[in-house]
Amino acid sequence: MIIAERKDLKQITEMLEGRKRVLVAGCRSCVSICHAGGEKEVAIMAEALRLKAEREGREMEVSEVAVERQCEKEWVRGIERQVAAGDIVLSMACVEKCGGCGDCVLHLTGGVCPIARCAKSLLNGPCGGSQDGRCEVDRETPCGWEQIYQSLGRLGRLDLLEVNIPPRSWLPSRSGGPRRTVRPSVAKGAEERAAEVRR
Amino acid sequence: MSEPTIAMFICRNARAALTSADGTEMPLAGVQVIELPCSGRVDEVMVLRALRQGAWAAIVVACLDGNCRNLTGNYQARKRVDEVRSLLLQLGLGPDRVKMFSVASNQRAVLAEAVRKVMDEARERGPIRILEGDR
Ligand code: SF4
Ligand code: SF4
Repeated sequence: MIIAERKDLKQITEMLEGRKRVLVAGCRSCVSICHAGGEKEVAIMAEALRLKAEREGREMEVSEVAVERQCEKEWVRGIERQVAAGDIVLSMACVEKCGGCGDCVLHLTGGVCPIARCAKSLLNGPCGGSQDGRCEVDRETPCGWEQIYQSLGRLGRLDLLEVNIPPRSWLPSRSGGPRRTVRPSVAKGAEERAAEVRR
Repeated sequence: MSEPTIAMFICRNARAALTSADGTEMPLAGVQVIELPCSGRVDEVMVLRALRQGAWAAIVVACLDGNCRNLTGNYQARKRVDEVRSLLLQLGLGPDRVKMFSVASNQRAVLAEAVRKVMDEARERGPIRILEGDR
């Protein structure tokens, strides 16, 4: 199973800057179970975005949707129309081919993970060894940063290549070993448990 | 400036605190009362929506600790209120626009005083503005 945690709303609202029609898309599987991106969290996110936009006097239409599994094409096809109607999709689901770094940068890399797809996990690629779309480490392997470049090109967001991703903390990454993540807003507190025992 | 409006989410069982023993209702000008079957029903969406729809502040009124008819509704409400406050902070809005009060159904004076304070505070601060969270 996948463990997910929602990003800070400040960061999320920055990613949505200038967008007018936002589709908040949740997933009813892993991210729903860990209270990070299911139907309920989608509703909260959408309402928070509307509140902020309204208070700022900005026009922003926020719609909500949740699919059974965002990692299955069949299910995502069901929301094609809604996706086309928006000018950005805020997906609260996880991604395939994720390196588990714990601090996602996919919004800057056209949805292609630099940690998992680049042999050196470069955050600001490509390196000098990228040739003809292949990685210098192995000529059979596509260069992750070439893929990022292509993807950003398709999205019309080549400007994002100018964004310098700063050195990052690896503390939240998978390699940090087992750990606990607690969502206090849903975890049962001591007083709740005590009350239930009294029952 | 116009008068403040506040949203009050109140548990059905605590609601009696709005009425005194002789049956007179607490004056609630500017307070939109939303009765819930239990304070545990309150969630982040409801509170955020109330603020978006124009409330200057929102309060959640629950029964005293240990007094919830459904055992844990008030504890659950508190967690959600904490979460909304955290969300407001992340949005750059003032978290103390949302507060929670616990009252027994006969504590009319306590509740009236709490409402008066929230009203005064809202009047002083005006409608919710962006960046008031100062973050
Ligand atoms: S940047 Fe890559 S490794 Fe990190 S969370 Fe995103 S997809 Fe996963
Ligand atoms: S060639 Fe591309 S994938 Fe290989 S290390 Fe360099 S940037 Fe990364």
